[in-house]
Amino acid sequence: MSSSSTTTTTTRLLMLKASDGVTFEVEEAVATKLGAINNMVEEEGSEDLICLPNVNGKFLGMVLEWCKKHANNNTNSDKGNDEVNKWWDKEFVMDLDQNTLYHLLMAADYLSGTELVDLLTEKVASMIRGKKVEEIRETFKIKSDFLPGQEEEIRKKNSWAFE
Amino acid sequence: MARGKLPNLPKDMAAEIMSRVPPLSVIQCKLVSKSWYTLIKSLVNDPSFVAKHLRTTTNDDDLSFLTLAFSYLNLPLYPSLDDQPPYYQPAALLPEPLFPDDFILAEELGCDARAYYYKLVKSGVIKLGYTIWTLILGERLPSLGRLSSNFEILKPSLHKVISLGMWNESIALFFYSSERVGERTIQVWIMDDCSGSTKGPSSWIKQLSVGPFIGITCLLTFWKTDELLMEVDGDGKLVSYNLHTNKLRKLAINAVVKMRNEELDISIYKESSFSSRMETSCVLENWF
Repeated sequence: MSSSSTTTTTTRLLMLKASDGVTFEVEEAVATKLGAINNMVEEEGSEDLICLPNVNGKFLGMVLEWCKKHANNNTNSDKGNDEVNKWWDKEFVMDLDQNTLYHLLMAADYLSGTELVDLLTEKVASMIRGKKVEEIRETFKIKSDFLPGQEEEIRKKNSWAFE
Repeated sequence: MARGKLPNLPKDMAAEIMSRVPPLSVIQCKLVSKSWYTLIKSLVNDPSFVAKHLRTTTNDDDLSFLTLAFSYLNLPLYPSLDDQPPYYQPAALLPEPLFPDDFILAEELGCDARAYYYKLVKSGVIKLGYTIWTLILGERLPSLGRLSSNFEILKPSLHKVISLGMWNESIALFFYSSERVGERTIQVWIMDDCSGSTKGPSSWIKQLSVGPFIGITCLLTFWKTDELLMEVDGDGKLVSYNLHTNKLRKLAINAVVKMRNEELDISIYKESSFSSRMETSCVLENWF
């Protein structure tokens, strides 16, 4: 295509179109942090508009926000980058509710954002790790649907885990 | 918004999450709700999840995983073949006398995560100079299937002491000189068998050679992927050798009180919530 001349390749912009029609204009270097998009760019090369029918705008936006931060931090070739990324990751996942977490995880997985999937699975794991059953129910807004006696039976069968 | 609930995640993602949760917590999650119960039950019965869980928690830098046990140098674990546990079956009598005057017995139990099997390997060199290698495979040891496998044995020539261990989820054989003074180089051989159901002979592949070390009394085991645990100067002090950095570091474990003629034996136990693993730990305790 004529638009991709040598002078603009370094800051080439991609258009990402979410399932609900919302579009995002993103620098190639940012978007290709996502494995799926990187593959599409490599395969289709000159295509500037990428349709992502499995992700809606809200969550695509969040995924891209994460990519942007990481891409920016990595360009400043400081040693403190890891620290900055870690701090920022912590902020990013701090207040996510489980519905958002669910959709973000699905989006990150679909887009092959491996690092982001790691971050999110770790976040979910931290909501479960070492927590009491009641606390987990509260966190994930779950009501016990066991019949009377069933819970006691499971407790008995796995008694070593509930002492 | 029912679809947005975590148990509705694809199973591989749920497995990814749960593999980061300690075993006890995983089991406790069965009580959250019916759908969680179903999820956890199917996960812990899935060998690939169990293996994944073990791998994910293996980077732990925590020395509490180390359990120290002693076995007396002069008492072989099995005094004679008649006393072998019923499921012990000699697999092959090799024609070449390899160690004419030695009597060595070693055994190791470990999880072969690639084959999803717990493996028990025994080796014995008996007085007549014949070598017996037995490999027993099974998911659960007490009700173990008797699957034996021959080994193509390597020629250990100068190296006399053999010990068995696990390395990167494979069964490893360590060779080093029996001379207690001077430099000692340790050779690590890996068993080329990850199928779990192989009927044909397995073979040993030389993986690496480390050292020479001075003052190493005994090679104990790998306790992390790249850390080799060794005893120094015969007084129960432990050092850990990192294969990547080639650095030796002393471990601050002072609880080891060692008596003369006692051989230090270390087993690494990992916490796991899964029944087959639980059974294997029980079996181990009985042996020591």
